[in-house]
Amino acid sequence: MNERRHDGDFEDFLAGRSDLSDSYRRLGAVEPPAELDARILEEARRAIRPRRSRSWWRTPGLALATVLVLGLSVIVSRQAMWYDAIMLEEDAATPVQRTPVAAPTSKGAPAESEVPLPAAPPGLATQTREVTASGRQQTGGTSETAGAVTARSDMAASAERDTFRQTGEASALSGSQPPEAIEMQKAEERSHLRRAPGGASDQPALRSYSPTDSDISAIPARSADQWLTRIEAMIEQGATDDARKELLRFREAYPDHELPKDLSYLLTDGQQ
Amino acid sequence: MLNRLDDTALMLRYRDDGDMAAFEMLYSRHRGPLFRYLLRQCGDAQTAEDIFQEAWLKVIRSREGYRPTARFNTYLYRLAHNCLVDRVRKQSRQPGEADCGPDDAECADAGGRSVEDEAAMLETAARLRVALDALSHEQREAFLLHQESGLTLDEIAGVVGVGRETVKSRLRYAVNHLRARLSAHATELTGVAP
Repeated sequence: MNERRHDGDFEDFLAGRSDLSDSYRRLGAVEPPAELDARILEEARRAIRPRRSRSWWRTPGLALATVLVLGLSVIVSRQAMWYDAIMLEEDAATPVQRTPVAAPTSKGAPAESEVPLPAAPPGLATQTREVTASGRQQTGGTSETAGAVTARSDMAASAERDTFRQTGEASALSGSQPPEAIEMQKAEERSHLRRAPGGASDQPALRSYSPTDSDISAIPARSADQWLTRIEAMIEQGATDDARKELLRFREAYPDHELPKDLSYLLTDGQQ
Repeated sequence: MLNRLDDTALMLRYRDDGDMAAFEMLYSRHRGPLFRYLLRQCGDAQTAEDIFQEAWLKVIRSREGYRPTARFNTYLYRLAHNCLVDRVRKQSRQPGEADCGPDDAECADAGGRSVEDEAAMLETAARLRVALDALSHEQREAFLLHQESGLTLDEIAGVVGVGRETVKSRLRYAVNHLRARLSAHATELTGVAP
């Protein structure tokens, strides 16, 4: 009975109808101090302030970042264009090499067989010199020049492949292929044919390959020094007449270049 | 306009739009009950203020993580409960230092009542405070949460992290205990058992 009454009181309490709830409410409406309210509200205000400012700065910030990125990309692309232009100017400033491949059909039309060749990239010249130096170190003694020429000519042939391929493509577009390109391709094919039985590795083929005179003359010289080196190689191989002719051509191309003493005799002999 | 919005809508307006007026409305609704719950639970005004501030700062700073899966009431009192538990773990409760000052002042503000009635009510309030202090922490918590927050048994269970029946049992014990203490006081006054 007593327990049932307690249950009823408890249900009333849960429903908020009991005298106990009334007594509790009479304890008073204690509230936090005003300073505490102010502190909390200020904190709430401060917490949303950065968010507003952040959203305010978001648009200009994005715009600024976009402008910076675009500006940087423009600068980089312009630098690349300037670099290309400088490279083209340097190429144009390099003395044009004229390599005779076929005899002119008539005296008045030498230009048909003498096509100016583009200069090799600077990296190629360095690479050629390095290979020459290493070839000299490896072979040493009597065969050092032959080794150097072998390495140089092979490297030059392979490196100029791309240049002539481009020239060939350009000529194909215009309807005719330069004879130098054809000759170059032939020399390249010969070089590949010689290399093929030697094995897959390029290094042994480089050492075992010795160029013929036609190979040497087919490969255009890239600089005065390289040209002279080639002429020296001709002399060493006993092709003195060809060397003399080559030296005359060299003189035409580089009239002011000082000839080495061991080559200048060729010109005097020819005059005598 | 804001008066018509429920707590969750106000909190979402504050969270999403930075609507300070919505927060002020929310705060004004819960500041009193929450403070009273804390004050009567921990028994020390300064501690209650500290926990009160801590709880509201958590509401403010973790607003981005607020998800309206439950009533805002439950969310707020769970935060406060956790702060309180942390505080209680750090320092033991000091009984007898309950909210004497402000309550007395509020109780004194009762116009239209006779001096005798006023004295009897003050006496009852004092007895109730003593009876509340005599409850265990868990029973008092259940009673105060029910009285101040307006949470249901299920919601109180969610706040304190126990089952519904456990909360009901604690609350029943607290009610019986308080009723017994107040009845004994009435018997002393009138000489008649209720």
